[in-house]
Amino acid sequence: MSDIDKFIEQYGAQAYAAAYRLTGNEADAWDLVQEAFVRALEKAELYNPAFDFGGWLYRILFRVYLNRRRAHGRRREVPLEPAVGEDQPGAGEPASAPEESPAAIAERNETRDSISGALGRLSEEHRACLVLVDVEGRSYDEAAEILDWPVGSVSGRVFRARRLMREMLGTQG
Amino acid sequence: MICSLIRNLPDLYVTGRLAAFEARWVKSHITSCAKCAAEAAAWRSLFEGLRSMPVPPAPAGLKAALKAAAAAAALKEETPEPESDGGSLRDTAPSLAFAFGFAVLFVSVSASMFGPGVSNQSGGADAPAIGVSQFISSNSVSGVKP
Repeated sequence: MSDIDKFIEQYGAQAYAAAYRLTGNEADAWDLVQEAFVRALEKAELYNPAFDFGGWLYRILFRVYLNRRRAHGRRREVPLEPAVGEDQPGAGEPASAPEESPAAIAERNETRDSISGALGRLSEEHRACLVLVDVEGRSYDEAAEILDWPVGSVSGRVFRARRLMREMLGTQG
Repeated sequence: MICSLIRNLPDLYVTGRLAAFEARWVKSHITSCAKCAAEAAAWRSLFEGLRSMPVPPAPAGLKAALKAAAAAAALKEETPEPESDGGSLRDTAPSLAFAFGFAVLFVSVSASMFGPGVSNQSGGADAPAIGVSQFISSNSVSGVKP
C-alpha cells in the first residue's frame, strides 16, 4: 500500500465528515473531499512530513471550500439533508438515553434539524468558523491556523455567527 | 444593569472561554437572574445541538474514488504537456505589448517636450511676439504711467 493510499484510508472519513458539515449534503461533500485530496497531492512538495498530514489536509479542505464558495458567488447553502437512517427513532448520535420518551426524542430531532437548517443559511466564512469552533470544539488559535486568518477575525466571526444562529432559531434573548 | 454588562458573555461562559474571575461573576449573576439563566440555557442548548449534529458515514465508494483521483493526478503530473504551436508567441506576447506601449509613451512625451507647445492668445503660433514694454503700455490703466 502506497503512502497516498494509507493517507486516504486514515483521513478519508475524517475529511468527509468535515466536508459534510461544511457543504450540508453528500454530493458536495464528496466533491470537496476529492478536490482537497487532489490539491494536497498537487502541492505534495510543500508538505513537511514532520507535521501531521491530517492537519495539512484539513487546511486545504477549508481553503478549497472557501475559495469554491467565493467563486460560486454568494449562493446560499441548502440545509443539511437528513443523514442516512436519521429518521429512524434513536438513529444518529449521540444515542438517546434509554429512559427518554418518544416526545423528547422527537423534540430533540426537531431542534437538531432547526440547527442544521440555520447553519446552512450562514455565510461560508461564518459557517467555517462555527464548524471548527463550536461543532468540532477547536480553539480559536487552531481555527485561525486552519483558515489562515488572524485569531481576531475568527473570534469576531464566531461571535457574529452564534448570534445569527440564535436569531434564525428565534431564540435570541 | 448587570444583565446589560454581561449580555455578551453567556455564550463564552457556557463554552468555558471566560477568565476565571469573569466566569465566577457570570455564574453568581445567573443564579439570581432568571432572564440571564434562560439565556445561558439557550446557548447551552444551541451548543449541544451543534455538537450532536449527525454526519453520515463516508460513502462506500469514496476511498476508491479518492485513490482513482490520486492516481489520475499522479499520471497527469508525470505526463509532460505537449507544446502547442502558438506557445512561444504566447510567452513573448506580454513583453512585446509592454515594449510597444513604452515606445508609444516615449514618442508622445518627446513630442510634447520638443514640439511647438500651446499657442499664445494673441493670434496663434505665427503671430509676432510682443515685447515687455509694448505689453505693459498696451495694458496700462489710463493715468498711470508705466
